Amino acid sequence: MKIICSNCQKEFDCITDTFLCPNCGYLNPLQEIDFFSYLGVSQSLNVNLADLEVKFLNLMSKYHPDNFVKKSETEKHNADVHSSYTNRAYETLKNPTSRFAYIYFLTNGEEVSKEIDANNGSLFTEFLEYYEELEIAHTTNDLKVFQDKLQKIKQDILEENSEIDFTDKKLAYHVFVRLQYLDKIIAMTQKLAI
Amino acid sequence: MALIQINDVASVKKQKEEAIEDSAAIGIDLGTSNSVISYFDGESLQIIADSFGELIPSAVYYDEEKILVGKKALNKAGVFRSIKRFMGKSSIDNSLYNYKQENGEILFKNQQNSYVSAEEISAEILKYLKITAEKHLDKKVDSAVITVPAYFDETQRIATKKAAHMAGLKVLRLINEPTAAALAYGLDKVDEVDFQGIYLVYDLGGGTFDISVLSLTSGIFKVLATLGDTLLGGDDIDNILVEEICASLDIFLTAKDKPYFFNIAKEIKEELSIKNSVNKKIIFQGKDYNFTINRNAFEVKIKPLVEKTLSMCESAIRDSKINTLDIKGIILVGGSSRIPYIKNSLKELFKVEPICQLNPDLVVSMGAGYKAAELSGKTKNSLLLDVLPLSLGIEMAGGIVEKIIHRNTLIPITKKQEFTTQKDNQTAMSFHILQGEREMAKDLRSLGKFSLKGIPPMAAGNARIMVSFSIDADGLLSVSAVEEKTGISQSIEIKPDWGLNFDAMRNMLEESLEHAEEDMQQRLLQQSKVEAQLLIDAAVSAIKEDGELLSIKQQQEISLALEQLLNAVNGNNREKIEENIKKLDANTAEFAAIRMNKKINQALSGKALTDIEDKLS
Repeated sequence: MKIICSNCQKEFDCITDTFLCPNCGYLNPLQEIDFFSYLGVSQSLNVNLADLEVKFLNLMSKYHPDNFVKKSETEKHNADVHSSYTNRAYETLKNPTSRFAYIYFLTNGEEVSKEIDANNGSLFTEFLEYYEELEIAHTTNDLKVFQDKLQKIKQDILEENSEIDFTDKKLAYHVFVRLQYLDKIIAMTQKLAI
Repeated sequence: MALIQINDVASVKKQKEEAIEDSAAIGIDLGTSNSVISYFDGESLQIIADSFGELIPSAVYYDEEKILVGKKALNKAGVFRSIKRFMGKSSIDNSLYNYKQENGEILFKNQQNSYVSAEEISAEILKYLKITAEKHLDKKVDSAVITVPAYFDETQRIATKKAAHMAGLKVLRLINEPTAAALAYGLDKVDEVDFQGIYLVYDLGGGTFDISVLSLTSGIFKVLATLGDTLLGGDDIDNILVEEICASLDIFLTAKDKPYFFNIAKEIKEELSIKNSVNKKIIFQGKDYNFTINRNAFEVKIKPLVEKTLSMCESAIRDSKINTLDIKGIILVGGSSRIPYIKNSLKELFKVEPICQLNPDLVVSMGAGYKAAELSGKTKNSLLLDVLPLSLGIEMAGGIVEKIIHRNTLIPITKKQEFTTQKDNQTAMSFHILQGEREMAKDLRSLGKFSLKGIPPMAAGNARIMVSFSIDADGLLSVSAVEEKTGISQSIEIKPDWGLNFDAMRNMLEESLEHAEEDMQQRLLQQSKVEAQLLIDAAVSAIKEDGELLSIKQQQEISLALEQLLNAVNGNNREKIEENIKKLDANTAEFAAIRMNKKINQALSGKALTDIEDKLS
């Protein structure tokens, strides 16, 4: 994405070069750009987490406000905005469920409903079984085994749907709700394990 | 955009603009008992001592002519000590000093009978440190990196910044004490892959004990968890020894004798870290006594205290969701961490050799000194990533809290959330900003309130108010609100509410776990109440507008259902509320249909059929 440096007026690519102008080093204001392009990873449900972290740290080491203590107020403000955006982009893409919701948003221009639809019959039965399983898990080890199982299920859902068509809103919503449910039960399991 | 700031960041930021070139930036460990100054010139790091030593007591005495700070103030009657405990507090439980409460602030009566705040007292310490550094370096010192405990919340950090501002020091950055200790050991140097891992920082100071779990990857620190006890420290060990002396010599002390015995206890404690047995001559009421203690007996005495600290280490590790064996190293901070028994116990528990090559009293300040040099451009910057210690949110209808930024989120961060009006023609909205983990506003700490006025009259739910929370790299918050449809912008001011309880954070965290279930029930109840209230409001405004469309019987039915729901809302039975919501809903369904017909008829009247067809197509 080509932008014109607001300091030296030279053109550069803010994705390959970051928002720091390669010519004069000025940190340019944030422009509308999605999280994937911003962090420099391709838009996909499957993200290499190690790669994502490296890209995140690299950007953060460039944009962190500590690097701009001696710069102008405008540039400091830009650093605040960029470092916040970097953190938000990283936290959104790091977690598969929020990553899923984000791709849905990019594709359809609207948020996937956050409320879990309790009337969904087949989902309800599936998750009732998990709850029952959670109830009979007593020892820390039981919980650990159960948690691993849930993680595996979640991983499988992500793999099965790696090529999912996000414009099929109904299907995408269904997958999203399953992921959300799993997150909830995993969180409950973690809490019990402590 | 209406921008409000819950602190004086704006003014601090303005003055940040000045050049830093010809003056020095120092690192300050502003401790509860002692403060330490350090300076890194790019090549070597030095600790700047005053004429009494490197550890400058955090003590202030207001004398007739001038204000005494440090050792000179220490032995004066009524001297202010451990004032850090009161930073940013609006209510305290303290019998040590005379104080009064004014405008939500605690003011202490000083020795000249005038009143000063904890920030002002801290500012005196900082002023003294600044002058000491200027004398030593022979140049102006105008900025500093100051360390704060990792658990310090919003108000405590702001109070620290305020104190620095009053002392004429620009705060380059507030950094967490454990992070500073890790920086002092150079653990942030990116190339050293070997250093990567999770570290425990064990800080046993004079009067406080802090535990932090840090993770270090590619030169970046993250605070994973923090825990501590603000009333546990080396002083307790001295206390144990004094009791032991009295018991073995069969003597009773008066308040007057205590300082002498505490000094002896301190000496014994320090000698026992080097020797196996210590013998002391003690003079009490003109008589000579002999007191002998060996290391073994000492260890038995302090065992309960040490075990308490170890179990806190274990809970901090549980909080970070890691195992004890994941700990790569333990960094020792604070004078009392020198005790061999503590070192050995930690080594045994975590199976790693504690890191203690640097002086544990100075290590925090050293880290701050390095960071100050980096931020003033002397050395290459390493990256410090912090997380938010407690969630921040806004109070919603019914006292429910909507969390905007969750605890442990990486900072800086900006998050936005849309809100809307709850009633027709509502022109103002008030926001109550809260901090903590529990579900209900009344259980959380209030950080401030503000209101957005001048919203144009609209039907309920039509206004779009975007509230954004921004946290900067120092962990300070600013909040802004804007009505998106009209773009109304007005300046909103907020007075900081210093409603701080020093130990509140830990208590809040513990309570949030204990009360999770109870909170959920309360939340559900409140949600039902809110839902009911909305329905009541809608029904009432519909009756006002179109009541004449109803038959008398219908009117009576609706009134009855309304009344029953109102009664239920005043109680705390959720099922009853839900049941009556359903009833009112059912009774008003027909009414809604009648109103809809009326609206359609109104819309259609006087219009040609083609107009309508155009609209429909």
